Amino acid sequence: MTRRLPPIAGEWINREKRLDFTFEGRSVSGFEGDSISAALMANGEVVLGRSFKYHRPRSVMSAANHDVNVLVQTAERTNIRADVERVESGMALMPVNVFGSLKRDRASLLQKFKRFLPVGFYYKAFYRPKGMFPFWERRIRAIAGLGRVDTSWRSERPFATSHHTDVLVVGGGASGMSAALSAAEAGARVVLADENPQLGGSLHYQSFSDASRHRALKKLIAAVEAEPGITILTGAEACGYYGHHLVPLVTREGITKVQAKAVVVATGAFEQPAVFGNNDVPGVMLASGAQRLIARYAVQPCQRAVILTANEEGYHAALDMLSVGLELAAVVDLAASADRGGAAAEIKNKGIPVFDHSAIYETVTGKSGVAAIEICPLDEGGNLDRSKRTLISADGVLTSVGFAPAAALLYQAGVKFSYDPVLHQLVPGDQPKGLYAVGRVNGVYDLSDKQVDGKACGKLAAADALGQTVGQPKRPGRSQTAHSHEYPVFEHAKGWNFVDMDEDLTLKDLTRAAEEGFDNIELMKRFSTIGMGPSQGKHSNMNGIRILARKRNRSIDETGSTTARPMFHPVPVKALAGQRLRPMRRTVLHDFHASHGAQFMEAGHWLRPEFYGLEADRGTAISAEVAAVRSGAGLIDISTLGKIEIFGVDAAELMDRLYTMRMSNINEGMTRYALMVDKTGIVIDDGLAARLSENRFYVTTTSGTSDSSFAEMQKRILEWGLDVDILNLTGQLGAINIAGPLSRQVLGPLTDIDLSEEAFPFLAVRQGLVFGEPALLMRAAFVGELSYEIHMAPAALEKAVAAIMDTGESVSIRPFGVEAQRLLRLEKGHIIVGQDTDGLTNPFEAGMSWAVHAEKNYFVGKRTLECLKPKRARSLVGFTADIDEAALKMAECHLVIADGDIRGRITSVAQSRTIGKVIGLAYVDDGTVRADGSFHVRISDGRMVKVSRADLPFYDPDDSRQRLGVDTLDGVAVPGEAA
Amino acid sequence: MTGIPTIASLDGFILFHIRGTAAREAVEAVLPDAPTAVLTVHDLVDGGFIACLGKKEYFLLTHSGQPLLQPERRDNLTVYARSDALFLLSGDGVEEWLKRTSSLDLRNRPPEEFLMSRLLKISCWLKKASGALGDGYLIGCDPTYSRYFTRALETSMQSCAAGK
Repeated sequence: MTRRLPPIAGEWINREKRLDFTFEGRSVSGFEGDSISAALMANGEVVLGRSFKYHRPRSVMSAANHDVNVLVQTAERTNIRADVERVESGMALMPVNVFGSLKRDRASLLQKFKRFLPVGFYYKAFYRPKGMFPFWERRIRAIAGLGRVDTSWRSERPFATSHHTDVLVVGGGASGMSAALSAAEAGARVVLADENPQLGGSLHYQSFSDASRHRALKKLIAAVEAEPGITILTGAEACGYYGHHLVPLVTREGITKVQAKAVVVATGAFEQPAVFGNNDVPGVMLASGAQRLIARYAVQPCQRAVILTANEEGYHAALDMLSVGLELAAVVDLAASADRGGAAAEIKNKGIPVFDHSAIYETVTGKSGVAAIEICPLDEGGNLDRSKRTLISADGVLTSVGFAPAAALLYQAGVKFSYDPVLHQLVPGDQPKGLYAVGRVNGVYDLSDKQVDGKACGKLAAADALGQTVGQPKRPGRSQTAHSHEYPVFEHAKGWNFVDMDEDLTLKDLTRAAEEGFDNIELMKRFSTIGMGPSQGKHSNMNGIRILARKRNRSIDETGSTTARPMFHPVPVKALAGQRLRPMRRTVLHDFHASHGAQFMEAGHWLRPEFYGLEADRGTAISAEVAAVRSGAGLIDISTLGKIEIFGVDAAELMDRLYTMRMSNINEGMTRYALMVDKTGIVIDDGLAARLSENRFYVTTTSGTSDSSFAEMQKRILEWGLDVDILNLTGQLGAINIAGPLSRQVLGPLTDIDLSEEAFPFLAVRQGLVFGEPALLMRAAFVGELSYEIHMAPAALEKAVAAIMDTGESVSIRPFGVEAQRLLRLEKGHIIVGQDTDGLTNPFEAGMSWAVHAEKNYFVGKRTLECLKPKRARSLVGFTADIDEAALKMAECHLVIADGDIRGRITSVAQSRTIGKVIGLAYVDDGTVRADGSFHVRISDGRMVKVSRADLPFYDPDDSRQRLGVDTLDGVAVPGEAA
Repeated sequence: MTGIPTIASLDGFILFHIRGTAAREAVEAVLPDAPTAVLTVHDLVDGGFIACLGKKEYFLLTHSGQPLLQPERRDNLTVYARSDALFLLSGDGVEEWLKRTSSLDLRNRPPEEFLMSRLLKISCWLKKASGALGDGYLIGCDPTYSRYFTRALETSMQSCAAGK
């Protein structure tokens, strides 16, 4: 470990535990607590990654979760942020975005073609000829992609959890810890969250050589840890701010949604890089990055450094470097060192050369990074005077030229920022109630001021959370010393001065974008992609704004700033998805179905039997089920239907208003088809409405619309002020349909209800006992045979079904599934809402004019339907085709084609053994059907299939079978038997 | 979390849903002290409860041997026995698990509160258990979600206990 320093007070590593791993196949060792970058640097690795566009060598810049040029991957995970991810024993790491190896990346040749690859070149180069774009797109994507995803890898998906608290403090530095303590002391329950594995924030690494700061840090941490009202969550990134103080925290264990009553944002500030020639090569890093490497991991960032600074923090960093034995070649100050306080004087006293009013023109690169630095004085216009340049040999440049607030959460909460001309930093304006910005994000830099700011806001946040009134505590003012330089950007003749390291954007790129007219920061962002890389502009947006402002001769405020949307850092999709929870509903007869060999299918939230039998016998099984219903008796579980009870003196009025047909004139003991449209006249639901008494109805809905129809009813009742109550009994009752010419024969012995045609006619509803338990029976006809819907309490239904199967054994009763039901109803020409209708279908198109009672005064959608009726331009029609290989390939959504144009589509199609043809339903534009009744359908392989329009229903056109029941009709054939 | 909560089906009880303008009257006839505040609950000695869900809506959970009410349908009243899946969650860690899983703030909730929420992506009701049922929570949901909910509860609780 060539760069590992002796132990540093407060370091994060455990030197007792050595961890071995590999990087590009080379063996590397680190300590427990090391970040990957730190361990690699400790082992003498200098080039840790390659840049996105030009594949230039890159290394540590911030060591703070923003080093997006140092992404690595394992076989299972990609784009691991090496600057913060901790090493684990046995890791086999590879860099991403490398063609070859880190040392010899073939794609680095792209640097030679830089002049041909300016910003936005792909917008201008690859759009013609149009047909070539897919070719270029594939190649660009292959080159531009970061990392490779192992799509076969199965992640363990964590549960998303909730956490309720009074006050959430985001940021565990001096300000945040002070706020947490203050809030807890005021009686609030506090969550203190920090993205780092340990508390401390900048207090831990900035001026780490100052023992008094170290003592202050220990004292604060001890106080926070001893406070029972504070829950500390480290390694927890606040990834966004949502309304009502909801802040999701992302941890290795998943997302915790913290719902707080007040939030203190103490997220600090991002140190910003300076823009000069070759400011991206290994060895150039933020001063805070170097301080983190040393204070956290005891890793020496370089051996001989030059510090470029525009604030007092740079001199403190210089002292830190000296304290660990690092050789300091020079300090370059963009202004006057005399204004930087005691630290600057101390540096001078130590004999370190200080270049006032100077800057770096470029770094001279050696084999693997910085070899020398060219320092030039600045003239009065702020330009570099290269005629007076000084070349200093060094392998490191540490920059300390300014900060940008880590303000994403505040922006997302709607806080406006403005430019502070003293600080040369964006600072927050008024904050919504219960939200407080403290510390450096608020422009407060002095340690004692930060603590006072934190305490004051912690107290206020606690008062907000607990509903207390407190006086306005005194808050410190913002720093009156600039901690940022107004324009730390310097021209470079060769144009290798980078503004955005994520996207390899240079000063020239942004200048060109501004010159091309992208004069708004949002426009420039989208054209140049500045701030759109993985670090989301944390180190580039501020300089980008400064550059655009200067190029357009505007102020920073006039230029504007961008709002970082959630997520603040990239969040693993597995964390966003959370545990795979797929609520599936099972009917009470699920075990019955399983015991009869059902193949289940998902129908919305329900698991339903598709058919009964082996998958290999699918066609045969479905045909047998259809034949059973047509010739004897079948039983289908219809528990999935929505079941809603409506009662009260206004029940009939409500029914009339909800449904297109008049319901108030249904006789007690009878049912009626119930069609519901929305206010735009679109079909949204259908079912049966049964009148149980003068003021009580029982209605069914489709399986998928029970909840939405119930909600619609609730809303309408409130809106209309009707005296009526409704109950959603969908899950509370089970239901079956026993159908077939012999169904009466099967059911008769099991019920006390008189099933005779006279006592229980078609469309009647009766209540009585089935197998000794209360039941509601309806004579319905969805499948076109004599049939009885039986609705019962779940436990009672289970017993009744067993009895029905026993009784029906003599007529070979069998359960039938969804597929058989679909075919049976298709033969009868009945539609399924959602399959034979879509989000634009009105009843007239669906051939259901008969279900719209226009003479009613009012029903939902009536006015629209009156307008739509004369405008109908398509119809749902039945069609048949002779059975052949092509006709059997017709499927739902195949298009009706006439004269080369799309003129409709199939909604349902199947082979009917009963009819002896392929039958179907299709929407067809008016005028499409030829004089001979034919039209054409294009199947998947492009062939056209000629079909013939047919009258509906295909089966039993006079409805005699469903109305009377075959067992009462002499001489009526049973078509199913013929098949 | 200090332990894994246990999940038990609650057998031997019957849950009535009483709805309609005569609901209050029907409830008062058998339980004069029934709560009137919405989403509050009074415990019954047998471990059951009477909960007010709205001005004209109640849940009554009683031992099935002494149901207090009978199913009834009038123009202004429906009383029927619900088929809800009923669970008793008890043991160490129940509170912690609920806090982590529910979007409701369960800190310092009054014991007489009847909660309606979504847990593990389905709608359910919950209340603190009492009397013979001991500590813990009663949870009820649509019976068609029973199997899903049981498994999801078990998985979630184990995950929570493991600190995941």
